[in-house]
Amino acid sequence: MESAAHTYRVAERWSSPFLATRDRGRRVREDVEREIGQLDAGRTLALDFAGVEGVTVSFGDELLAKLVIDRATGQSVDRGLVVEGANEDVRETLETVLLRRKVAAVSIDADGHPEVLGGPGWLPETLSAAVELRSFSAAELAERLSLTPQAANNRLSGLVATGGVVRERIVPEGGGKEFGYRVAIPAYA
Amino acid sequence: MSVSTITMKAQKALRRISVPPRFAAAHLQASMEEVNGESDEVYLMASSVKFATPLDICALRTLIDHASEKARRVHLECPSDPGVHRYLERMNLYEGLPDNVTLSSPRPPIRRQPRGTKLIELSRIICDEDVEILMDRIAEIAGEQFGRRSTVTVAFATAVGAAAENVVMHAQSRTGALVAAQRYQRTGLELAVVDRGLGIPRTLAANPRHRGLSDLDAVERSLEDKVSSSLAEGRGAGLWELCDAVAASRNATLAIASGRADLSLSWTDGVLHRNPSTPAKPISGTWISIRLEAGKEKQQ
Repeated sequence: MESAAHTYRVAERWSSPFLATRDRGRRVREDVEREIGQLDAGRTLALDFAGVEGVTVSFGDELLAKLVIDRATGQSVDRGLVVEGANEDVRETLETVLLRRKVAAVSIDADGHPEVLGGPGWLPETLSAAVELRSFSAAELAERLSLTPQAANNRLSGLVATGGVVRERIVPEGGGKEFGYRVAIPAYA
Repeated sequence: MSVSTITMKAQKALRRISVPPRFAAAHLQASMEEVNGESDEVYLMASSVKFATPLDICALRTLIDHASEKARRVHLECPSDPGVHRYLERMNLYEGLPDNVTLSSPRPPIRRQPRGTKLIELSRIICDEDVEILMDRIAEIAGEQFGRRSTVTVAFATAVGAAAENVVMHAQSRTGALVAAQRYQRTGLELAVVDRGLGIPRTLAANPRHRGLSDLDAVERSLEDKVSSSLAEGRGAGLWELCDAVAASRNATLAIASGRADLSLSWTDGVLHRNPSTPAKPISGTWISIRLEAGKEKQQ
């Protein structure tokens, strides 16, 4: 069976423990986007920073912040995206670039637990609820978090934008169109 | 032809710039103005030089490069002290000199031993790869002082990379940036990044939000987060990152000179002292020097 996650090893691909400049960040992002585009719906790209010692804010902004923004507004919203293997310094820089752009991403920490980088304060709680539910509807998330359907939908938009959850079109028994949500973090998918 | 015309012609034909024994970068910055007029020949008199910091080496090479563009011929009177002459060779000062530059003494033969943890030879930063290689080298040299994997080392390497990438991306310097570093046993790590680009005040003025500032205010503002020459989102982190990383080492100095601004920020046990000044003549490009003091790392 094909693994749910496809790993993109940044240090191996770009042969450098330090990564800098917007131009380099753009080239890495374009390469990552190409690979996400080749994934089947429902699969996840794990952006692996193991071996990367440091990245500049410009590089991180051009790679991760723009990747998250482009993914949320583009065609690959049905494919997941997570960050993994980032050391403390890289993680801090990535969080900085996401906060500056008011967007968020999901990072897998050294213990394999998902954490939210950047984004609003309600996002970690919403991710935790999603991880418990694994595959769910907006109504189920609303019930779990005692939210109105509108508030749950609003939070789901933010959660899907991180790449840690994917949105899938489903056909309910009575017909019509609905969206379902599924956690895209490899260990919890 | 009058006497005064002949004197002027003679002055135009030959210019002597003296480099004092313990020269400061500021002295060479002023000297660059002197070779701005047309000259057939420029003599850079550096024979009495007794000591050169990384910033001084960057400054001297900047002056040589500048003079070589302005004059038909440039003669560098090399330091008469053979130790200093050898050190400048070791630091690559004489490497890749322009064709119209001659040296008063032959380049000394030296045995190059790996000094990766002690110094970074004078290097030119022009493209992405140069910045990344520089970051790796800085991690190596700072790692010897703070520990290879320490947060200070990685943050410092990243921050200097951010300052260097600023030159690659914004300074419009045809010759990129010059970088050199030396870790001294007693005083700590010194590093310099010098470019002959537009300079911070002019670069920042491209953004209407930061127009109309004095040069000193422009340099101060460039150290804040999200301050950039560009209006695009996500910009303006380079010098902020640098200032943040230098401050994190708690006992350090960051000096930035550009246009009519010369700003020195020093931290003693984490307490900041500012020393702004206005140079008599505008400084071409951007001159950054950093010192991370040795012997106080355990306090972090």
